[in-house]
Amino acid sequence: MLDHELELIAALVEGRLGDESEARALIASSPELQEEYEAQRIAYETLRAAPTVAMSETERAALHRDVWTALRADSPMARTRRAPWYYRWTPVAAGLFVLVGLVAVVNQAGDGGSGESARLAADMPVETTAADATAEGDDGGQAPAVEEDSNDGEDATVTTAAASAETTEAMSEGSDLLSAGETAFYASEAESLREGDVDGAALQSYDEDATRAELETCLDDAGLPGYEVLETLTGSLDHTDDEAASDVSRLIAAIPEDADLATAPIAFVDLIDCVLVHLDE
Amino acid sequence: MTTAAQDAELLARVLDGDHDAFDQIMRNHEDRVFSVCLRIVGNREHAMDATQETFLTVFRKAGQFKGNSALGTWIYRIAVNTCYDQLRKQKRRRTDPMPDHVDPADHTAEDALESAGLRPGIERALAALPDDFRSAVILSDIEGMGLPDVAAVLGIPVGTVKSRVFRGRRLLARELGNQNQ
Repeated sequence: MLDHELELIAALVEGRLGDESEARALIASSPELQEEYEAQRIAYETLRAAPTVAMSETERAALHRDVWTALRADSPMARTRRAPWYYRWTPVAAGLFVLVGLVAVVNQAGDGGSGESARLAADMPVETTAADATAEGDDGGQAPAVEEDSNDGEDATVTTAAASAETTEAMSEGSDLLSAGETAFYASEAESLREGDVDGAALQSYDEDATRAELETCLDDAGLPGYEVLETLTGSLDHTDDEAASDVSRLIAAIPEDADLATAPIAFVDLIDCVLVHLDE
Repeated sequence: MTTAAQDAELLARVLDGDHDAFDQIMRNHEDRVFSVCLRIVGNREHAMDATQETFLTVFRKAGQFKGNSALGTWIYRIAVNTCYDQLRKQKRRRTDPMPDHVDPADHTAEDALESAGLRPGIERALAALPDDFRSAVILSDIEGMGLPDVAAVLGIPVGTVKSRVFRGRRLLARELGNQNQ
């Protein structure tokens, strides 16, 4: 069956054709097309005749009451319990620490450069202008500065790596702060994912504001560069009866790139705040 | 004022902290969200949970809505994804059998569908469809959405929607035929 034949049948079934004669002639010419048309027509008419469903007034009132109750319970305290503030600010603090270090080194190098300029200026003939001296001095001063920057770059890398490791460790330790219900939820999700229950379709059809690239950016923001998205899921803890019962959030499940899903640590990242909320190892 | 324009104005008010505006957005869309969820999850209680979760997500993410589509489309997209999550949880827990697993002779299940406001024959046939086909058929043929809107809600190309609807109807007709035999 050709695409345009299927298109024509669908249009005929849905009553979208102004002139139906061509479609009806085509269908009449083939038993296969006739059978397909009948199947499509029966299904479409049955679905169109499906009874309307609606909430009762009691359900409607309960919906509004429960939504507002949950939103009121969604206080900063509740979110802090799940992702304490110092977890969120640790990467920022590490970044600032590195930045301050860099500024200090650059300043130091700048001072050295001035000294070098003065030395070079002193060696120059009197005819040399101050501007020339400064320019040459800058050149001279830059070499050690670059070298120092380079060294500092290594230090910074080490510092950043250490900070990152500490952050991950701290976040991992943060799992201890989860409630029993949350721990059970993440353990269950991780187990299912390790068993291969990854719903790629759910990821592809996730809402418009979260493309795969944005999810990966969120992982970077959460201090997990090099992790790849497994899927998105809803962290609904409604199967527990603890205080987190109404705490619902969108989560990204991710593992290190090229890692073996069966053994890799699985990170759960809050999609709204882009913070690591649990690392299942 | 069109529904889309009204929604945009309401959303702006929500972002300004007007809770009444959010209540109005809920009232504008809750029936359809509930209807879609009930068809997808096949259980009134779970549909209510999914509807509630949908609006919680809408409120929490209201600031992230970019306006690339109608607010309703965005809300139904969140609803469909929430329902998928519900289905996955149900399948994992396996403590709450879905209508697609029941014996046709199971009158208790039929009663449950009828009391949920659903017609057992159609709902059982719908439940037998793969999730992707079912959501496409529900949005297109029951909710009466246009193909571009269905595509926007499901986050897939229009051509894929056409294919899923067509194949979904074919499978549905076969299921309905099997039930009549």
